[in-house]
Amino acid sequence: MAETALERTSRALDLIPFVAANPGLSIEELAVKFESTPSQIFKDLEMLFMCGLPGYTHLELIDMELEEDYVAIRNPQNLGKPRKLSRIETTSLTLGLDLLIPLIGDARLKQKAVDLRLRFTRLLNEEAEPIASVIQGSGERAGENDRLIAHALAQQSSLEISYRSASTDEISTRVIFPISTYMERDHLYTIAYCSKAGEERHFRHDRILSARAIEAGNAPSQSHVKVNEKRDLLEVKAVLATRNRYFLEAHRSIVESVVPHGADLLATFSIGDYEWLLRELIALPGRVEVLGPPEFIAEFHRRLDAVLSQYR
Amino acid sequence: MSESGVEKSERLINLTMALLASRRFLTKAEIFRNVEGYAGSPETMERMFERDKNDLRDLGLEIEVGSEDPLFEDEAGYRINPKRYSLDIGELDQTELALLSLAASQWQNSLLSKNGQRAIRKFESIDGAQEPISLALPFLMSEVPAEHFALLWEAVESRKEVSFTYHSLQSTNRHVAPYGLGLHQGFWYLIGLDLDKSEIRNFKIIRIDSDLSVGKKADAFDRPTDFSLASYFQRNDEENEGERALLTIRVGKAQEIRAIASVQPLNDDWDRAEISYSSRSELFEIIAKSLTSAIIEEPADLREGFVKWLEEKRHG
Repeated sequence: MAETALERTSRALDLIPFVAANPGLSIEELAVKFESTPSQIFKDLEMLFMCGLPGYTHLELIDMELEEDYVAIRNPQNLGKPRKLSRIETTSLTLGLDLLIPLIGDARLKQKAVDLRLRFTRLLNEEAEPIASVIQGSGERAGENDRLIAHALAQQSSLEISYRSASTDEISTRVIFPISTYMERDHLYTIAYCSKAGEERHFRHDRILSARAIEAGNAPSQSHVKVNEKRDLLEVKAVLATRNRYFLEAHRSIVESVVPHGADLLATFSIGDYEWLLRELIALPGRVEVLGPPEFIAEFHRRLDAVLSQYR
Repeated sequence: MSESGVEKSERLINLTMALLASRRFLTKAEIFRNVEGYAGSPETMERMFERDKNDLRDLGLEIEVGSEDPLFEDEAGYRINPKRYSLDIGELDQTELALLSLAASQWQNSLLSKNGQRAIRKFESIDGAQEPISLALPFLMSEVPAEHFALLWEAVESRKEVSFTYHSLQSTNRHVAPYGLGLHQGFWYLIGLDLDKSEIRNFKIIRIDSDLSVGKKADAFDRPTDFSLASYFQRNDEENEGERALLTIRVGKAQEIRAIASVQPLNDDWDRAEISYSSRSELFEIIAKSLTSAIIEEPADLREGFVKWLEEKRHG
């Protein structure tokens, strides 16, 4: 979509103080920073070159040095300070802090985040209700397992965990070397090298039943870790009710394509863990019709019929 | 003169600079005479200025209107107070900047992510960008529904009514006065007055179809003064408690159900599980994942509902 003059003006007004405070960046670096293209940033700067205070002599114009690999603003005139935050910019930060605060274990850091939240709430100067809120009370809280994982991450050490697997519906004990942690759809996950699987796996924290730090030598070197190795991938096609779009969005790494199919969606998955996908598809609400491959269709129906037969 | 090309952006920036620089109110005549970019007949310039003023206000700039001598009915003038233009958040230390960066980067591609990064660039425009310190906190990635969020935000902010098809157990058309957006248990909700039912309802945003439309009229409704998103959800959670289901689950299996149920042994092969739930659809999803390791026993209508829910998949 073509950008409007307003969007361009907004970016240009933000470019001036940024370049003034960060002299010497290249056009390319500014484009990355401002999520734009080098040619657009160059055009913006060329335009700013012509802007200034009434009078518009060289003393009143914005004074800059403009080379492809070096941009600096010598005189920003009266646009040297950044604009105040907009309501949505502030909201992005306050909601982000709301999500972070319950996950912070360190008491001092937590207090700092709470104070910061308050400082930014005051900026919003909201008389009544905010437009958007994080409704607390039900989300993740930093529990003992989370603290152990954070410690293992910082120390690059290992943990022995008891884990409830979603694809096999069983509990197993395994030694993991945590690599990083992320949150998705209100659940914390740790990406870790799993000594049982001999490769990198994602572990959902609420499925970790117990964890304890162990002495198990050093984490395996990256060269020994099989990261998302593409092996025996099966291409599965299925028509899903549109409301299952969230499922496709949440599992982008295995979704090859999504196209409209009448009132529904036609999704193509590329997947190694068939068992997991079978269970997930059976558990999706609304229409689910597997179109291929034949062996997956047969297995999908066999499982579904087995569940239905328990009710007949 | 082009309304969307270089000329317009250039004129808007020149106008901002002129209004910021002036200690007194500038009259339109002074603006047309002195600010570069205004040309044409008086009517043309007048129209240009009115649009420019609205555009700058849309960018969040506060343009003050007043006259130099209130005793005489002078022509109104305009200015921007520099104190109300620039960011004044006080000093931010390294840890605070790192916390803010983390807060801003937890949204996946969306309105919130774009605006979070914009905010961070503004902080970096004060003392220059610095290498962020690591806080060893989880990297969060909260999903924000990409398609609807921006439209709904605008509708709540400008108090415009919205209409859409909503996919719950059935698909229905809804007409809503939007009161707010809430992130609850990992999902975004629109909370508002359902104008057909005359009740405050919540709508999971991912269940809103692509036909979402926002009414043109701003300030179309008033949000009740005693309405609060947080207490609405609290109340709703309480109302939803109390629905119970009785299941039998295989010994050593159905781990997802065991995590949320109270479980008693029944015989060598089966256990009895009691679950309290608020959403039937979400309960079915959990039970279905256990395949043949779980059977709904009671209530009967839940059992029947589950069979229908599964059969929808059997027949494609």
